[in-house]
Amino acid sequence: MKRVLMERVHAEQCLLSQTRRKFLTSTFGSVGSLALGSMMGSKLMAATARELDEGLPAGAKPFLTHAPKAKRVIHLCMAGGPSHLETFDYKPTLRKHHKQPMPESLTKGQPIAQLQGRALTAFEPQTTFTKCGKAGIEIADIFPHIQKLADEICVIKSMKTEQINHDPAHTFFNTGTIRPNNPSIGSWLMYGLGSLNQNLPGFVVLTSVGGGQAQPISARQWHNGFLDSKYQGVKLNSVGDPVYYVGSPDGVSNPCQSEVIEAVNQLNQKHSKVVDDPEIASRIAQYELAFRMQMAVPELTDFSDENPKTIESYGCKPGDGSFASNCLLARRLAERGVRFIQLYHRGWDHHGGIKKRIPGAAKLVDQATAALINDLKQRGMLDDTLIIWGGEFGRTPMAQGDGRDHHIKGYSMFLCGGGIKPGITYGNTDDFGYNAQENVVHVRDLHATMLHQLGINHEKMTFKHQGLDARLTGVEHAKVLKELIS
Amino acid sequence: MMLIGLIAAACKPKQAEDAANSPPDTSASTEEVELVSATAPVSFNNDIRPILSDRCFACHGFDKETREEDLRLDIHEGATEDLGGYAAIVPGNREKSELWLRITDEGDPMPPKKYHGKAYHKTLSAEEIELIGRWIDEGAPYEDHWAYTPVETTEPPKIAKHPIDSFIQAKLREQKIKPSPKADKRTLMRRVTFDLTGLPPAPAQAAVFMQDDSPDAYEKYIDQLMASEAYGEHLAVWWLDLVRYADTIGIHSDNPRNVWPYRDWVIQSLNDNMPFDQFSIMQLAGDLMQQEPTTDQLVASAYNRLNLATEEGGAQAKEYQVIYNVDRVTNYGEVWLGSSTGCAQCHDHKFDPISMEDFYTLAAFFGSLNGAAVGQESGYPKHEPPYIFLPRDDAEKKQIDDVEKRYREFIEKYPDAPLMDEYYGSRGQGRPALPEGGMPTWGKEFEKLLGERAKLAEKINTVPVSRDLNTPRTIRILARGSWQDETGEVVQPATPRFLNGPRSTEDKRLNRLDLAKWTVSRDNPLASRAVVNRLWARYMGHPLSSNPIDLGSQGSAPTHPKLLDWMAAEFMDQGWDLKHMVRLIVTSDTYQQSSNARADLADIDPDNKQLFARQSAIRLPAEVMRDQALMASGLLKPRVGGPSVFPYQPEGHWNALNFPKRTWPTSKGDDLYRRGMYTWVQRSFPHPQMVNFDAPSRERCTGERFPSTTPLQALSLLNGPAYVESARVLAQHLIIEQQEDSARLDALYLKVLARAPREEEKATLMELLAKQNEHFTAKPQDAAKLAAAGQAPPLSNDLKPLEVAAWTSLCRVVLNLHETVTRN
Repeated sequence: MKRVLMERVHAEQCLLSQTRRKFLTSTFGSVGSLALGSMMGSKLMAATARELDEGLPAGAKPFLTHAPKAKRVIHLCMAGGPSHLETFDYKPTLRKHHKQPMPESLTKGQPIAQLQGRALTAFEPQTTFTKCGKAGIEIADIFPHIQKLADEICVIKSMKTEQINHDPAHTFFNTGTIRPNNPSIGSWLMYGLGSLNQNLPGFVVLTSVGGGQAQPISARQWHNGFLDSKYQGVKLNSVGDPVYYVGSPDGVSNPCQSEVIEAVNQLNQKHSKVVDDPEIASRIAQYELAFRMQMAVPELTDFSDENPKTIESYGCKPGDGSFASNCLLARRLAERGVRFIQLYHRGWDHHGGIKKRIPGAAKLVDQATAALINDLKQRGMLDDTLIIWGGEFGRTPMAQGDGRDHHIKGYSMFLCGGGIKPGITYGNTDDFGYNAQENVVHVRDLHATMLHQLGINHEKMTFKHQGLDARLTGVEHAKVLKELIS
Repeated sequence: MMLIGLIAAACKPKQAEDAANSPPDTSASTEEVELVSATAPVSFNNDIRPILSDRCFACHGFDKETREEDLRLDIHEGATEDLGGYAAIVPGNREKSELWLRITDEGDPMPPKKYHGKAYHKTLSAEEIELIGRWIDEGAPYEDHWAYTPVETTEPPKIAKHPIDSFIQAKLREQKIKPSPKADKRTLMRRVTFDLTGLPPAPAQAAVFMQDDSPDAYEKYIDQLMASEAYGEHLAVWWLDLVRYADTIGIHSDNPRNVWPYRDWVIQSLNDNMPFDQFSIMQLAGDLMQQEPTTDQLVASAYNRLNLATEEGGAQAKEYQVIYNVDRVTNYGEVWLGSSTGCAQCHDHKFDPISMEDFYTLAAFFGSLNGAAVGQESGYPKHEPPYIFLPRDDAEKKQIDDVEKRYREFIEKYPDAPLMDEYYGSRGQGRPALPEGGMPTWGKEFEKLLGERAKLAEKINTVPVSRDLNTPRTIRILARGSWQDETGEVVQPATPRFLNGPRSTEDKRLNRLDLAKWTVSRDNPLASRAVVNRLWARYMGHPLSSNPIDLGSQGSAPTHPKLLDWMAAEFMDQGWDLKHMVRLIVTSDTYQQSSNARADLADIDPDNKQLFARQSAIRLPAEVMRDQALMASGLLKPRVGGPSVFPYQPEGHWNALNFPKRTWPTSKGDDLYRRGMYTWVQRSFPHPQMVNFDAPSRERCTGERFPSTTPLQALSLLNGPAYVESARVLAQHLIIEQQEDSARLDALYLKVLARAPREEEKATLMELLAKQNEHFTAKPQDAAKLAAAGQAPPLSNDLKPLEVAAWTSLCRVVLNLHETVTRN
């Protein structure tokens, strides 16, 4: 009995770039391929390997209506709600009205968070801006590295959301609703497109340590909701095992572990001759996959093969759990075929001291964000990777002491790569930066556009739940932002 | 010929047509089915309603806001209404029916390609169109939705001794399918022990049962299991999933909520077999049952305090009052009405007759509950008022009495001062602000009393309870569900109109107690159906009606409507006796069948959801999975009840929690080895082992867990510290108890699987033992590490690490087997 599993793992790592189908036929014997046919889901016993690679069975995808521009998405989530007025939406008008009452025409009857019942006065921009790139996009000077990429990014200045508190606003951005038990974006993508790498989770979340007061982020944000739990996001951790339980127990070497798993599968095989239970084949496949994951994850998080210059460009100490290190990890995940990668930086809730604090938050993300974009570009991956940068909402043009409160009627985000027009801005807020007023982009529109870039018609990707054809963009109107697509 | 007639009535025409379309078959059954298809009347509930509901009701249904052309097809009157010389449906004549002409229109068939920009196109298949045509020709009979009709007591067909078997076998006979043979005794023992107690069979108990050849051995064994406290613990998980029990508030800071006394009450009540009607009334309205409610009644009423809640700065009180109310109505509807009412928050339900008015009149029952909308961060809501103290001894009781006494004196002295609970309940956010215009005379004293009470709550156990405000909150119908809308009609508490239950009048405003009593009365056809449907799923793998929290018209009609109704009636006739119903199901032959998959069922019922001609093989639930390992290794500490515990959890799992930052306070000693159901439920970050094995986050009602099979499960079982520790301790037991390898293997299988290993299994494991010995001999430091896994002290200090390590590997293998993790 040779260490079959170990050999398989080695073979797999050599073959990462090959298609999985080819890999299946070239590496696995009869047991493996039989079992792998049922991988990742008890209900899919009869499905072929090809179907499993792509989430739903091939015939059940009427929503793939056009050729995709992007294969994967990296969402850089600036949790807490970065102020658009200090980042991408320069409003000199606020300077003129500094400390004066806001026009009631704007604020009357509007939802408001911590400023409930307080005087609403305008607050001038707390950062300086520079016109950057060929189009002269205004980007705050707290982002010196992103400024240099002005010709690569598409700034949306007319975002709009529906939820004014952090937790529901994140839930709304990630699932399209605040009703519990709805799938997050990554789960929808796993359902619709499947994974490109069977050895790693296809939907990975990195919550990042350091910077600001650290918004709490619930696991609900990467939950599969009513979709099968095989589509749930997996949080990668910077302390302990990167994936929970992926490390063998203390004192158990890889060969030791592989023998244990081999024995489990042999006994399960023998058991399948005694009882007729189609789930056994599925179980065997899961144990093979689990072991390959045990091998693949350490390789993923071992940064020793990174060029020191690359590491320097991100400005991080690899593996320290910082946003910068996670950007580097995101690139490694993207290279390995992970479909949806969500990185949080949790330090943007600047109710007070914005002048002092927002440069700090920016410093922690600016260089690494730019490095990630450049790195992907150098590797020829920017074209098929859609990067989404931004928070769950923006901040008020009104002062809250020397900070700003939550604001949902107008804010900024930026997109990059993935077939999005580079070097442009889209939409505008009014002179006070209060309401998105030109080319308004609702969160749903962003969802529809993202799905479009992945080859998915957002109205057609549905899942029958409680009698409704549920979808990420919900039942209300959502539009693909055609003007943004190159 | 009578038999054929029966087949005709029960056979779904769709299947009949499929059969008719299949290649000629000479077997008798196919011929009979063909014969049937020509004459079988179309069933509105089984055949037509699902089509109309899915394709038509969105625009031609109950919701008047979205109704097109003022045409509704959900009721007979609407469909046959004279629309000016024509009607959508002319019973008996498809060609004269506008509906028929429209769905068969070649140019622009209904449903239209892009209907009103709201949803994507859905079409009717040729078979569905023909079904509708035949239904119209047959007179287009409408039927009330099955779940909303009264539960009638019916006689089971006289086929088998056990009523359940009679219903199941009646359908099997029609389809010429035999039930599966009875499972072997050991499998059955393991199945029923897991199902009733959530634990594997205890070896001693198992031995007695296996050797008991008396005819009632199985019944005696069941009685034993149902008499054990483990029964109530295990069934409590079922209930706690439904009512979304958790140890935290769920939103943003997700701080603790000290509500475990409610969990204890649930366990105790289920073990005492409290009648389900009383069990329900106490939870919905225990506080209103008498002038001075008992402690138990108040603890049970914590049910109304299990909703998700926030403390986030900037959250608006008014908005969150609405959110909590919606959460409560939704949960009540799913648990007791088996109905999803949530849609009606914003619009009339499109598929079911639940209107916005119904939703908000239900909300009015819960709208008067006292309690702050927005709590205060930093652990404060652990004692979010109103709560009661649960003193453990006389000394604690005395301290409480002192404070309460002074509070009563205070009220007498200052009749103008607010009642403490009212005061909390009416405040907005954060710490309560005293009235504007300076401190009233009573202010200082009041603050002092509040402070004393809060201080006591830090030391003495509390539980949040239901209390109604003296002045009920105004509840309006909110246009589009918007909390900012103030134009809607003000409503009074009432049960949903379509169920014809009680409503408030000018003279009498109903309260939660009225709602609770009606809910578990014969007048409500839904509660009993919902419960027995879920019980069936629990013991057979799948419900009789597909959605255990939605029996409405978008769920599917039950596979065995008469069985479901018979059980619902029996449940009520026997005084809402849960144990009786559980015993009924598990003593049936249907339950005791083998779970082996069958070739003859592979096409017609592959998932065992239609016929129940076999048992289902079910992966063990998250809690049970770990309990089994702990029990096999003797680590399990079976203490019942008490605060939640903190078994091993991966480092850093709570890193993204904040306000305040927290770390998982890993339990020590016995609490590390309590049953999984006592594991702390942090809604925003449930324990990874729970998540990996499909336990819900308890943020909403869960009527059924869907067992998945994922590599993360394999990783949990292979490498999770609880399993490794269990394997290590189990190995030590084997080494101490048996000298020979072969005898150790026998003991291992007996402890984990309640059977002896087969020779070929022994061979595999002996081979592994040799190889593992080799590894650990070469690396004694590895052996030492594995032999020291977990916090449990070694069973003996004389054990050789090499031997313990090698046997730990074998134990890990057996704890990971498919057979081990499956209840067959």
